[in-house]
Amino acid sequence: MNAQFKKGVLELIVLESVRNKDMYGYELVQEVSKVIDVNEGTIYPLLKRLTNEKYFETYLRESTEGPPRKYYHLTAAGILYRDTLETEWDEFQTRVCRFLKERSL
Amino acid sequence: MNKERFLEKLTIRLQVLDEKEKQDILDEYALHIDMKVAEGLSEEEAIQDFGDFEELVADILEAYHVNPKFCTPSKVRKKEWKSLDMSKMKEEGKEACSKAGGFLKRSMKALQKHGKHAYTKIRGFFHQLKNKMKMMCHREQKEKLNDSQDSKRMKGFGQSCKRTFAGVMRGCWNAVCLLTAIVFFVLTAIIVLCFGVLLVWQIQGYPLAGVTLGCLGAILIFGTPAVRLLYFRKKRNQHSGLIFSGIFVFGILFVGLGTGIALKEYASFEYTGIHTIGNADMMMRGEATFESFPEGEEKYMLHCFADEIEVIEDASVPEKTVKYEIRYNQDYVDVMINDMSADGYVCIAPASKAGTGFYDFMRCKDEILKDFKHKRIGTYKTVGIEKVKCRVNPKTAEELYVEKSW
Repeated sequence: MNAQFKKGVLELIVLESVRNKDMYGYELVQEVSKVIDVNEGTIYPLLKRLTNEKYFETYLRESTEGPPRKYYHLTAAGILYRDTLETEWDEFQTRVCRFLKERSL
Repeated sequence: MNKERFLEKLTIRLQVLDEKEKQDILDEYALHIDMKVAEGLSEEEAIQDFGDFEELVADILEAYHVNPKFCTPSKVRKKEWKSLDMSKMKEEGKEACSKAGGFLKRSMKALQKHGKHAYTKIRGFFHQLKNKMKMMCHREQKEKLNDSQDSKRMKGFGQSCKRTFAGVMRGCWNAVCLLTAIVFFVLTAIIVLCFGVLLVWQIQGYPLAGVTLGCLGAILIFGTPAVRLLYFRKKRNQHSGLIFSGIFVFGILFVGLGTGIALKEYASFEYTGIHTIGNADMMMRGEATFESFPEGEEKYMLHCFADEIEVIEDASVPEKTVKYEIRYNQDYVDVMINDMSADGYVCIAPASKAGTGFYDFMRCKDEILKDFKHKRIGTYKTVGIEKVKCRVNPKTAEELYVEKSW
């Protein structure tokens, strides 16, 4: 898939992934990788940025399999931001689809 | 690249970040690699999944709003060197030595070339100088020299001297320009500072519009030559000259206007006379009974350092006795009474309290600033002993001599 496309929707996918369930970094990377093939390293900076922008809150939870894990929780601001992104995405993809259809006729 | 090396490299490249933040992100990556390894991948494979290292670093730095350009490998290479493994160090060492060798080689060539040229010039100069000296010392020999050769040599010597003189003059001129520019620059900095202070006071309502405007003019007057001498001395063109001249003229204009406004402002100040600052709200009472006149005198002496003295004749006061009331400012002074009434002498004087200089200054400052703001000016003094009221028996009143000081 085109790298620019991936970059554009990565935020939305990450926010959506955490919407219903708090996740730790690695789990989130796995979740995102199911949707798009992305360099795993690039997701952590994105998480950090979203946390700095208060869309995520983090907390540590003990794990039986190793050191404590840092979980990401979507804040109210994060939910609003996610909704905005979804609306924009819908509009964007509708317009592009319509345009492509019109051209192909 | 294994996990340890990866984290080490990442640590170096993220050194611009706060220690806690850096550790936070490193922990994330360390945990990620550990989990991949637990799934059966090697450390190298796990790290490969992160993609290009430089892009990763750039992404992390961007997440912290740090421009990745300022944390390029060259900027952190010095620290990174310490953590490189031996083989890499060897390779980079070779490369660096090769570069350094190339640089030294080129430098040596350049030095050789320019050195030779300089040496030839210097030798020629001294050779000419020597000939000149010889010519001066042995005029007879000089006459025998071929006229054409002589003139040629003299011409060369003259040009050399001219070049040397021009070089010295240029150096002196540059030094003078630099010194002048530094002086102007320092002056400008001081005036800018004053301008800032005055501007604040002007906004607070003090009548300083003229002085502030004058300051602005002075900044332009001193700042223009400083900037021109420091930065534009070698970049002269018609436009820059015109601009600088224009700014300079505006500076003079502002100083003129500022002076005019200031004179107008201060000439309209109202003089409000003497202001006594502080309250004489403390009273002290006492009495002294004189026994004999001071030596060589025919009257008892009461010496008071006070703004005002009042003597009242009162029959209820015993003869040869003085009852006094002292009104004074207890914030400013203590009253010192030197009672030598047995010898016919009493002195009442203020004793300044410690720190009253500052008290004096602050009280006067408040008053002066208040008056200045309202375009008034006066004479200010702090009250110590305001008044001494003396009661004496009318029969012996003639025998008392009251002396007032200040």
